[in-house]
Amino acid sequence: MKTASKPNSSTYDAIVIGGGHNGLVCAAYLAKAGKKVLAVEKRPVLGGAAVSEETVPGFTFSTFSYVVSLFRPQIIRQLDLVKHGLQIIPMETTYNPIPGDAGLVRWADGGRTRNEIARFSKKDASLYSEFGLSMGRLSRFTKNVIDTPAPEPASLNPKELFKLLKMGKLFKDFDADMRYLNVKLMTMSAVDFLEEWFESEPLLPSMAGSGIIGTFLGIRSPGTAYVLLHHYMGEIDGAFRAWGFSKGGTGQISLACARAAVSFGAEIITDAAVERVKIRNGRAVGVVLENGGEINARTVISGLDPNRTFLKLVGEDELPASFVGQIKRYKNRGSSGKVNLALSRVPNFEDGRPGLQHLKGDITIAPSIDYVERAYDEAKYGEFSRRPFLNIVIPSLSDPSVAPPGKHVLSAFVQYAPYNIREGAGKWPEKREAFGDAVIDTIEEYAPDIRDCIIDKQVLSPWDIEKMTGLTEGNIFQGELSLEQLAFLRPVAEWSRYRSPINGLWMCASGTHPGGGVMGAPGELAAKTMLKEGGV
Amino acid sequence: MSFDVVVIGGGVNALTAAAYLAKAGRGVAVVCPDDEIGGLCSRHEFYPGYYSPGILSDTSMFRKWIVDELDLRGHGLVKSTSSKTVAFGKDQQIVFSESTDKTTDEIARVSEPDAESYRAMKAFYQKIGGPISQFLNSVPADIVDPETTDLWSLFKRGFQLRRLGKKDMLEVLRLAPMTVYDWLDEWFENNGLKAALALPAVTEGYSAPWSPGTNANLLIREVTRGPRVQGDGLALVEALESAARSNGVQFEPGIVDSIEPGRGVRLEDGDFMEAKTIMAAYGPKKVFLEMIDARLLSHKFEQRISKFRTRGLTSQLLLAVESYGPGVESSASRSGSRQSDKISPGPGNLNSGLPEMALIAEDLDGIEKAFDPVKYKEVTRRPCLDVYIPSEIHDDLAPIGKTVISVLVHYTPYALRGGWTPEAREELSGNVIDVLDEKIPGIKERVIGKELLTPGDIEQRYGLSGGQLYEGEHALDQLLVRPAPECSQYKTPFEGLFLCSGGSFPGGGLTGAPGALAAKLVMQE
Amino acid sequence: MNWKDWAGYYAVASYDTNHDQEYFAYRHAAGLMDATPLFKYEVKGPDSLNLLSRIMAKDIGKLRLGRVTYCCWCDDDGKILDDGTVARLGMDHFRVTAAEPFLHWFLQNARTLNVTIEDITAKFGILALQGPLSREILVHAAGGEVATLRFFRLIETRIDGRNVTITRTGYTGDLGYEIWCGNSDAIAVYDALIESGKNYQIMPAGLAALDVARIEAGFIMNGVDYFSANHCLIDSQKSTPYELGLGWSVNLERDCFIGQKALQAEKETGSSWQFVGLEYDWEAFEEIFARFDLPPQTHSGAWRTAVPVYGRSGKQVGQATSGAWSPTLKKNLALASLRNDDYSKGDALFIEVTAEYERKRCPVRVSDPMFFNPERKRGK
Repeated sequence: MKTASKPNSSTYDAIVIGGGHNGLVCAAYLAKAGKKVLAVEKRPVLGGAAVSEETVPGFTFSTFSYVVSLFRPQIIRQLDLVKHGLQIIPMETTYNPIPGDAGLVRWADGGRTRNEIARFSKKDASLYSEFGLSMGRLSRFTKNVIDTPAPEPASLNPKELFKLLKMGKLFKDFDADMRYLNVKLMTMSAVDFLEEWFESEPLLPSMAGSGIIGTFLGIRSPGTAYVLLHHYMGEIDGAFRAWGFSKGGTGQISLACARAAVSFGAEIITDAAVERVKIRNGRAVGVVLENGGEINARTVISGLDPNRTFLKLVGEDELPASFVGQIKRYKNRGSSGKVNLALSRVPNFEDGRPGLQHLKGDITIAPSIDYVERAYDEAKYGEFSRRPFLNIVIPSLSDPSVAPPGKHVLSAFVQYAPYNIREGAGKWPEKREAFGDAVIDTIEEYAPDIRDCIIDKQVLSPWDIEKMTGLTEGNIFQGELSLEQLAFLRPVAEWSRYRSPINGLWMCASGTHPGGGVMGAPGELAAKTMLKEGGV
Repeated sequence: MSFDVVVIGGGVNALTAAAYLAKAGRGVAVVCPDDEIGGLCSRHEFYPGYYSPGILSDTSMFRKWIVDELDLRGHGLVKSTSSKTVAFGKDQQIVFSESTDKTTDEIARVSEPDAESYRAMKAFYQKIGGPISQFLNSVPADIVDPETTDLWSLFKRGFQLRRLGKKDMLEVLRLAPMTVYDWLDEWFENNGLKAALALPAVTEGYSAPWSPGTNANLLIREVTRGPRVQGDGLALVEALESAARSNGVQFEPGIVDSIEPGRGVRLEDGDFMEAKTIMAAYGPKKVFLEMIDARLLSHKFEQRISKFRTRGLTSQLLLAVESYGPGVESSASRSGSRQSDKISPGPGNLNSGLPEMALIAEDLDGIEKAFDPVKYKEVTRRPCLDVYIPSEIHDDLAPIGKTVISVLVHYTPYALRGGWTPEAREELSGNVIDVLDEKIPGIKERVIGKELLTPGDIEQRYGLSGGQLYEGEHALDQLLVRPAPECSQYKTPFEGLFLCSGGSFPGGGLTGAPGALAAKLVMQE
Repeated sequence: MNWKDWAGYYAVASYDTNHDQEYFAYRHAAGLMDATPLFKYEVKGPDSLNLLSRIMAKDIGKLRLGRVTYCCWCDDDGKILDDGTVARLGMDHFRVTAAEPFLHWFLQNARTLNVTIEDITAKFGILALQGPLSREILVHAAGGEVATLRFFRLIETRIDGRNVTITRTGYTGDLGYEIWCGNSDAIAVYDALIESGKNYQIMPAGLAALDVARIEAGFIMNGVDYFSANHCLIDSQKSTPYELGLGWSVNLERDCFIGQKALQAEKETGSSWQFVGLEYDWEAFEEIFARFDLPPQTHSGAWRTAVPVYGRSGKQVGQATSGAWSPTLKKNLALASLRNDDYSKGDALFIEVTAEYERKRCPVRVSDPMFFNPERKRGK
């Protein structure tokens, strides 16, 4: 999609800083409501961390975010995103390779999955569907949490208390078993929670792995269990599967949002980095671009992370000291990297399985609980994991449009790669190669021919992610998804409703409730809140 | 034999519950083998002439209201005014004492800003302490299957918390699920200080400083903490036993074979003690999975109790030490600032210059690193230590002039890869003594006897499931619903059977709270 | 040939495009069906009986050596989890069949018991030989002692030189046997049975024909006529044995078993639902279609998409969960659950019928669900 780098006008109802998917969703909703909206992106491509780029000629990488997890179906409906090019291809399998073994594949078919699990534990196999059912029931509650702004427990406003009561009632309407499960799920570690059900590897680490993605926590760290729910939410969204690829790469989601925004009359400019938010008498009145241009607006909405928004674009001087303290305490802690490979063929996992069907979903390298935990232990003390937890996808198997015929792209999400390595984050460029090698060495243990398949590669450390996208410390969720940074505490207490201490300055991205992932929910909720509260 | 109430177990919670019920006029019997009176604070001879003081000794969280209500002072309980804990960090020591001023001065020696922060943090705990201790000192609301009274009590608690002001309320909600690491990092810069504050809190569960939720443990410690009891755990149980006896509690030496809810308790020797009400001061797993006919448990309840997490990660090394008396210069006595507040003479003070209590942990990462190998069932090379030297105040634990050192070793796996062979035990003991000797030089060559209790040994000796010192890991979910929804309010699915151990709200440790709260509930019913 | 998923395995629904011939084989000659995907557990050890007594609603203590029994098991609230059979091969040796995986349930309940529980689902094949001529075929294949094998008894014998356990059980409501054999022996045993049956018009038969037969016999099916309590989203989806007409298989007066208290209470206060058979009023059924100038249209096989059942006032009183046109009885049949508050014996009932895209109500008669119960099923 073609975009200009200069705005048509000098004054807007709202300016959205950052052309990430949340910013674009927010812009689209505001434009749809008749507002004059401008979205400003610093990079030449739109999408923020949800971009597709032809990094190697002929190969389209989903550079950062590589799967669509919980993109809200109501956004697809309300913004008519399919008309604007969105197509999501469901991911049907989860594959855990084991060297010299067929490994474990979990399929869409429950019976088939059970037989696979039975190879490792018949007891686990017999419990697997019951577990899914409990989680499915529980996700009804979580869905409500994701799709509404966070209630404010400290408020004395009757409206807020009513909301809390409603949430409480929803909780109360569950049967006692579900409530108990919910208490456990919200506080326990993924491993402890899963060990109440299962006993075998690689099932346990494979499932638990989803609890740590993007966090600086281990699978044994309390507070990692609740993310497991996300895998069960797809079904209650009415979708067939919770996870999928966006056709043409993750960037297509952002582009569909952008086209929708433009179709509603929004304007989008790229190659236009915002230097600072213009503040007059404590009120945001526009932005100043790095190229010196100034654009005025009644409302400024930041799609950047809280740290960048407030400490860089606004500045400490404009903000109450206590708020600055809160933002400084807000934990970003990038913990993951990314390795994208252009491949001449599909690597051979030597698992004796016929066909490639089992490679079409995600491929998780997490052979044992100890393996994943050791990867974390290294990261705690400032090293990248020598044998990391990997979440690999080969989207070209489902979407041939992203690679030349017969060739493939492989995207490996790597955990852990701490932003703050022992030598200091600035030393990442020197360690990047070694980091990439550790990842490829790891893959090689499962697919011994991987090196022969590689045409080209892109290795991204959290430092690179920060440099390219602006995400502070390369945290893919714009801030750690730990309990004390969720819901009414996201990003910080008293400012969890998309507003900020600066009048006219709002937040709309993953640093706000309900948090990160390609969900679109923060953008949607921010726009709806602003429209309702007369913020724009 | 027939009683109104039979209390099984003889520890702090059992004695507390028994004393309360007897004081209210019930006919109460405590069933417990004589040598197990005191529970986790009961002594045993681990080397000829040397006695263990039990496994828990820190009485600072024993509830003051229980002291008052049971008139424990009348039974010999004395509040300690001079007890100290020496925190050994890397090339530094901080002496924590009962007085915040003194402690702050101590901290100032290692970091001026941290001394300020310490004072501010104490003030913060003071401010938020009210509603939180109220919460910790009453029967918990049933949040899983709330009845109207539970909802009302939840609402009340919420309201009390709200009265702190919006900011503080949100701050409390923020800090509870945090890691101790992040929380202390927000306040302090000195590694040794952070480690000393963190160690007791993070070792209450399967957790270390980096584990989310550990900060709730720290918060609970800080807001319920008061002066220690003079003579520590041993003195506390003596006072409780005396209070129980003087109120008419009968002590029945015997081992419980099984509980027959509503009817009574069968002893191993075949005797049957009749009682409509039974209070079980053992951990929930032991009570429901070992003492009650399995067929009486519903499937769901049995599953829940089985899943109550009780992974012990602490071992105890007991050392019999040759005279470590005057003439031996300990690093503790070398420290200049301490001359003025020497350990005051307790009943058995030998004035050896050794501290009564010490914490050895150099920094938060050091604690975390002591935890790491345990996850893989390996021995920790540099354990963090919680040291208690009871012979400094009790003269009957060791021959005159000799010393007993009890070391809680963090962390130690319950099951060791390769098993707890004599070699493995030697390896761990050696690691512990090495660390100890670095801080208290000269210990190593004076050790004449020792006993290592691995978590498995602790389970055997003290009846703690999994060897978990707190009768169940302290983690957020196990605090909110402890141990299972069917029995989170001391009542159980069995009429007449009540729980009153640390496996119930508000958790383990020498607090007396589960015993007292459960007893009050029984008196109400 | 039609395939169907059965517990993660491909299973044959019908060997032809249509199951009619296979159904008639079940009723007039013999059908041979592969029932291997059935979940199978082996329980051994001194406490086997204690375990099964604790789990099953039926008193397994009364099950004598060499016998098989049909039973169901429940959760703590007396809600049914599954139904299946228990066979006693030795004093401390049992085999259990189940429609759903329950290994975890058996293991969880064995905490204090000296017992081993093995999932033998993939270790054993089960071949179901069902139909009036099945005895002759089996005598030919396995020898004379099968001839005297009584209803719900078992023998251990050999077919084609391979060890088999034969139980006189089945899911067709007819004379029939189930043959357990080692997985690797299954194909040989299958071939031997086909060979023995060739003069008796044996046919390989599939699940579609079985489904019609089981409805005629009034056998309920997990996942169709009721749902395992572990798999229900809401309480109202759960059922109890009494509500499903399985009260006869519940033995309350004995040592504790799972769900005992709840079932005791239900027995005293009465159940909310009852399970019945429904026979359509054929003339009325014909009339509904006649109004469109159409002949009556029945399903070609069994159906299992539940339809509402109404009372005279038009109020819904329950639902029919599965049904079939019975080629033998020449009746349109359904299995249904009726709410006791809304239905009393003798009340007129109507079932929803769709004719030419329009929903109509057809009068039905309540009957014993065991619509077809030939003497030969249990006879000598």
